[in-house]
Amino acid sequence: MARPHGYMPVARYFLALMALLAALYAGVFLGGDSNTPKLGLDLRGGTTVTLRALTEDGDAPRSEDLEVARGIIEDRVNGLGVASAEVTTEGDRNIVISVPGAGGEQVQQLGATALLEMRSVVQVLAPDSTEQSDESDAAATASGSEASASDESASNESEAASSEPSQADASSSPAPESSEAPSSEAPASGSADDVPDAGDVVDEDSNTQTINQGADTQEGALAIAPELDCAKVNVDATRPKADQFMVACGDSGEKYILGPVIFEGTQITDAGAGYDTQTGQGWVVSLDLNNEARGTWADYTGANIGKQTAFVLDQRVLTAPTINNRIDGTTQITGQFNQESATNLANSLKYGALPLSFTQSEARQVSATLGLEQLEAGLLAGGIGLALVVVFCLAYYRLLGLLTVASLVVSGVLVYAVLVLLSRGIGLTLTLSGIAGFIVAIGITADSFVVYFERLKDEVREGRTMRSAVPRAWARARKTILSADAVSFLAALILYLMTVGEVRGFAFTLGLSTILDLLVVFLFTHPLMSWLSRFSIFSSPIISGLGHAVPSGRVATEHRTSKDAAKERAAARRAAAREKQEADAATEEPT
Amino acid sequence: MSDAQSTRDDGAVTSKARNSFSHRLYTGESGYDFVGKRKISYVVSILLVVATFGLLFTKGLTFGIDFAGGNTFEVPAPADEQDEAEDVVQQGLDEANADRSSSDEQAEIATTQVVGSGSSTSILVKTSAIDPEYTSAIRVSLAEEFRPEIENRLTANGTEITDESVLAQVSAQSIAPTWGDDVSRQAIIALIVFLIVVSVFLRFRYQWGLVVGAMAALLHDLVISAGVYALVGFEVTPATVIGLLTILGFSLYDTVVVFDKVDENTRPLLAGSRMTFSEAANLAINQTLMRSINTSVISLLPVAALLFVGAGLLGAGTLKDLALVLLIGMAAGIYSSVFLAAPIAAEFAERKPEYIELARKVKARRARKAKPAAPGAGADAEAGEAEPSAAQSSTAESSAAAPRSVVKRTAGSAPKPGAKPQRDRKKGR
Repeated sequence: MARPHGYMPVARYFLALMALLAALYAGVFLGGDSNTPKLGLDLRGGTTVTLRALTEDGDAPRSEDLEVARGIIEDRVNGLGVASAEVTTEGDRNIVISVPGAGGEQVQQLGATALLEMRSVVQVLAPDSTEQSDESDAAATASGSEASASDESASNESEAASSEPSQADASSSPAPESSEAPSSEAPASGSADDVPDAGDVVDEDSNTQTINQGADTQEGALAIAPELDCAKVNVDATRPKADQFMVACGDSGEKYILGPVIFEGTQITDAGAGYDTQTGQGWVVSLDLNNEARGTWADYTGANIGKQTAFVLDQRVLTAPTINNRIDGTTQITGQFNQESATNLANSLKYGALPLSFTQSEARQVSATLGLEQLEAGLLAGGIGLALVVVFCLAYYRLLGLLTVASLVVSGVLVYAVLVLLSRGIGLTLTLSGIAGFIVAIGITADSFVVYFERLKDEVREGRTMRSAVPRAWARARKTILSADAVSFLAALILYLMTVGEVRGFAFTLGLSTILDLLVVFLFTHPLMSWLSRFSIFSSPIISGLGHAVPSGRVATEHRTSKDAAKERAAARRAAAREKQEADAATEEPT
Repeated sequence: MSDAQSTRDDGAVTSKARNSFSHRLYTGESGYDFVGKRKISYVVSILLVVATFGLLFTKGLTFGIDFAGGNTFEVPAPADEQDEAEDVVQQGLDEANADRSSSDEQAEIATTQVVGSGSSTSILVKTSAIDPEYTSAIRVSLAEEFRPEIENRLTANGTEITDESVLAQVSAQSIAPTWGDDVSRQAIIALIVFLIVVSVFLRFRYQWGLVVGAMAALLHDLVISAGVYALVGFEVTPATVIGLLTILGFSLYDTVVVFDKVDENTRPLLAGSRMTFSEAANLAINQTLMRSINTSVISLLPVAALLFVGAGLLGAGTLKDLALVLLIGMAAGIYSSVFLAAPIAAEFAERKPEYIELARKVKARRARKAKPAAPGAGADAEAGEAEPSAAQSSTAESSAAAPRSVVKRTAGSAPKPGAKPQRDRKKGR
């Protein structure tokens, strides 16, 4: 762009930058309540659990299944009454549960596939007045169903309770909304009670209680029963041990006193729903046990025909069928199932209500104090890194170093605004690895200036004035900066898209910084340089740190070989006289 | 060299200082023949790579708990209570072991260390993998054991003391053995994709030879970094793997800075017969040497700060692992972008017919010019020995003073870097 006297329209660039910053900061201050970026849990404390879906062939599960699982886990987490928890899928097989602050302890229990047990039913207590779980249980159940050998017909003495919201549930009235169920059994909030281990803590804000449902004796379990409020979710992390008695709620508010575990859910090798056309029982759920449990189950069923047993999922009774005969082989549960409820029960038995089985691949609890320490350490590292770069630039480029410092400041101001807006807009959280990404990016940002200044140095050494050197150096440096930054950005982008976990935060901030670096160089550093080059004081090497213009033709580039020495000397003699015109000339060249 | 004898009109001899190595480096006139001595670089690099593989197969890498699976507990406690913390954790492990069949491996404490200082000292215990329920139990017992200490600190912070807030002060991390594998698997996929994408990108910018050079330098950096890890026995964690991938970007950044200059120097070559590709490439390396050193130093400074703070204040974790691998990888990157990338690029380019032809023409031209005795012997001193392109240190070069035919620049070809604008002549002064 030909301009008289080599003046680029500096003001235009500055105005563009100012407008951009003004827009960003208007967004920061007017767009929301907090003017700070959202911190990740590793910086403010909290619990993060990463669950990894297990598949038989090791491939990624179907994304629909993963999404369904995420939904169920989210329901469970909310059911625990944990405040502001987030459940997200990550990559093609992970589900991440994040719980800020204290109290994420019980989320760990969700990590494992839910605990499923088969226990003997000792006693059934009638439902309390109007209590009913208002948490939709993930597992559909069919009560009053029964287990039988596959050839056995079923007697359907059922109350047909189904937790499917779509179906009317005749046997219960809607649950009261208030957290205090109007029931004589409802424990008084905070009251001490005489059952050891069962201090019931009722949270006023959420329908939760904390109670240990296990006891060493049947009487102990019976004593706990009144305290157990089926309308509330029990968030006690301690699970009754396998050899203990326990009390658990059924689906319609009845309470079961249960004996020790007969077999664990993990011993179920397969479960499925099928339509039985031969005996006209409609939908049945069948399940197979591994060899170890099979013997136990056969013995137990043989000895306890006519009694009830209960499938307990996460301390709630899924279904409590009556044993019809000794079962050695496939167990069939019959009852008033439809396709959906049968499939749901089969899934619950197979996966603990999730369509996939998960393993906890990572769990992390960071205390708020440790989080703060990490944040401080990250900021300190950033500060030291920045200071080192600034000192180096000032030492090497003298006054030009100031330009670097100013550019880094502008960069920082930009980054901060973008960070705040992104954490508001797309819920980006700043993690420790994110901070590391920013720190590493300081180097990349400063590198752009180095490339530019070194180009300037080349031009100046060849005898140009600053004024004429700037546009030429810029034209060449620009290309290098663009290529180099493109490579950095590509690396960050691919890291971000391909990886999981904390890598992403790192890659994101690295990529973000690279883009903002380009903005700063184009809108700030170069225009400022251009403007400064108009002042003759800047041509002094002492000020600029760019070294001397070499007046003798001792030029260190190959063009020496392409010009004969005589001409060079002549050129050197004329250099001073020519300087001014050259400045014009350089700018007349199309760039 | 010829600096001192530069035939300036005023006859002044330039000061010694201007002739020092550092000054020549600063001005891009170090004149080292990187390309000509590429065999040495190759040998060094090949030896390093072979040594690395030897180390990897014999000694192997030390993998952190993220790969084997395990737990980390961090409890706020004074430094002298390490043993108490270990005892509590050990009790929890014993419980976990009791529930295991004897054939299973027994869980044990791997390491115990003190991190932080003063009022923020905490004890960090790493153990092998146990089930989630047991880690919860260990956290609870740690919180009980150190409750007085934790309460003191909470009070100092003005935090309310409840069972929950006390328990929350114990940080824990449990990692399944699959976690590290997951991260690594993803990393390898990312690496392959990255190499492909970058190859395509570079191919758009430069010729094939340069792409091969850049990729060779990249792989070299990765291997050498792994070698250093094997040699010193640093722990490899998922953060290390991340860092390794980041090195790719940095290593290429450096290489691109050098290659841009190589590209610029070699583009107009075929129009004339002044220099071979290797010489032009070598010149580019010398001209960008200071740039490479500077960008690398500047990139390393923040990383060094990260390492210092990460290791010093936090004792362990992401920051330290990341910084360490970046530091090692970047150092390898500095070497490879100068000694490997461009020489390998030249190696490939010189095999192209047009550059073979060019080399022949250059040789012929120099032979021609060497024949007539140079009249200005004094000016010989001004010769090109000090030229960055010392590759051609043949005395033939010293005919600089001989009258030369000025090669007409073909229209449209880019002006040589630093060539003075020709228009002043048009200006008819």
